[in-house]
Amino acid sequence: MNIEFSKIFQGFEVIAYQWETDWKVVIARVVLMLLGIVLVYLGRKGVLEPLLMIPMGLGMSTINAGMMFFDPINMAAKTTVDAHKIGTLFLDSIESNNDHLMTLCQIDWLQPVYTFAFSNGLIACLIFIGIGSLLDIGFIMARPFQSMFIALFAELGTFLTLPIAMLFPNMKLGEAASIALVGGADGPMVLFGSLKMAPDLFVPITVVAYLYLALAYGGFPYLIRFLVPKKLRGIAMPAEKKTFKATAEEKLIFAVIACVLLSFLFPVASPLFFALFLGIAIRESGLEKFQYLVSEIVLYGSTLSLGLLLGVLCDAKTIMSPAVLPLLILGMLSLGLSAVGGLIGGYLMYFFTGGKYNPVIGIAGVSCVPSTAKVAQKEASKENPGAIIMQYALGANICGVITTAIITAIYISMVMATK
Amino acid sequence: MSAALQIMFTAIILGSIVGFAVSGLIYVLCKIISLTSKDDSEEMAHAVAIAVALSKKG
Repeated sequence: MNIEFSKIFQGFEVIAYQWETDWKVVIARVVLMLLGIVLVYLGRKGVLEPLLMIPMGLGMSTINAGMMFFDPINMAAKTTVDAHKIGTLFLDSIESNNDHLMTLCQIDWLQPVYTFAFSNGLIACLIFIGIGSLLDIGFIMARPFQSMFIALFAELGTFLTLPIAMLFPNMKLGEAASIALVGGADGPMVLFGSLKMAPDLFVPITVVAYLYLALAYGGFPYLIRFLVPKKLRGIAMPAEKKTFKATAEEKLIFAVIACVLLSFLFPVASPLFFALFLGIAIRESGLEKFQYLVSEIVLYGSTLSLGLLLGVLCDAKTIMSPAVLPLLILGMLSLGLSAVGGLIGGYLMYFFTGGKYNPVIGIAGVSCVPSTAKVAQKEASKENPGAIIMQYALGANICGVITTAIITAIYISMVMATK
Repeated sequence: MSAALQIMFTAIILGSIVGFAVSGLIYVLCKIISLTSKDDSEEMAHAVAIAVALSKKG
């Protein structure tokens, strides 16, 4: 019996074949393998969000390493196998034929999670239930208009990136609106929005969104230091004469009314509204067992699945698509503009209140719960340990989720109406 | 492009109206159920506790 080592260690054979047919893919694979390792390292160091970056980075490295000659559909159908078809045993994000998908679900280990939970927005909604169960809407109820003002300014990138994106050649309206949603800094919202408006590009758009959201955690502190002088960063918020303290029942009433009202106004985003307010309702109803289930098991289980899938979707072929470069530029632009917009809102509040408002709170309007609120508090504490701005930052933060959901709903409704 | 601008302006106007309407709803709700005014210290203590917990988590 002839032992063919190239068949046993198939990775070398695949690399050699790809080098002959398209050497750029080989370079991209190596770069992505290294990038994945860097993401794991930065996640472990706490520079990037570790909950997402560690599974994502490892998935990215592994998917680009674990490529082989594999034609599962023809193998299962016992028809002529394409000997040079390159695939993996993880998933196939391109396949859309229902029969083929059922076959793949029995072969690729992540295909069922991708098909039944990711590509229909289920993971986005599960994460939203988990996030909702962690949100204390009492922070918004204490100062609703102030929080909403900041949150709307922090949507600057979401608003401006849409027409800017249309300046790029071959950019469709749905794709432009989807990438603009990155400015809302809510990953599940981008996933949900791109599924509805740009189904062909939802994988790269979602990957770009989560990559930037992780980078925002490390990059926003530098933006704050660049745009807000030291003296203003340390402003301690004065104690308010009168604030509302809502009871759990009152928060529940608000959650129910807001959920029904917003779902009535924007049916296209009602799954998102429902998921978010269901989480809030569970929290405020005192259902401890459900609260534990959604805030621990569902949220972290979904985050792990999401991180894994996002990493595994970063194969060289997807990332090298010509559509990805504009998405990378626009995603960064959208998130950057929203951060600047939030700080402008913070500055306006600073002027309106006669210098009694810490403008750093503005960054928390860029939802990304609770990362940006944590960033705002950390930056304020660095300059003045007595500056406690967390309650204001969380109000703007939670309002940011609501405004992003509203804008997502408007974008989806209007884009779908143009089709 | 004109469709994009139209959607953008609609989103700004409608987003602001609905956003502030939600804020108004919260405000009215708080008024209707006659929430009593209170000292800020409880909320401040809550916020400090969250800030400390989050900073410990890194």
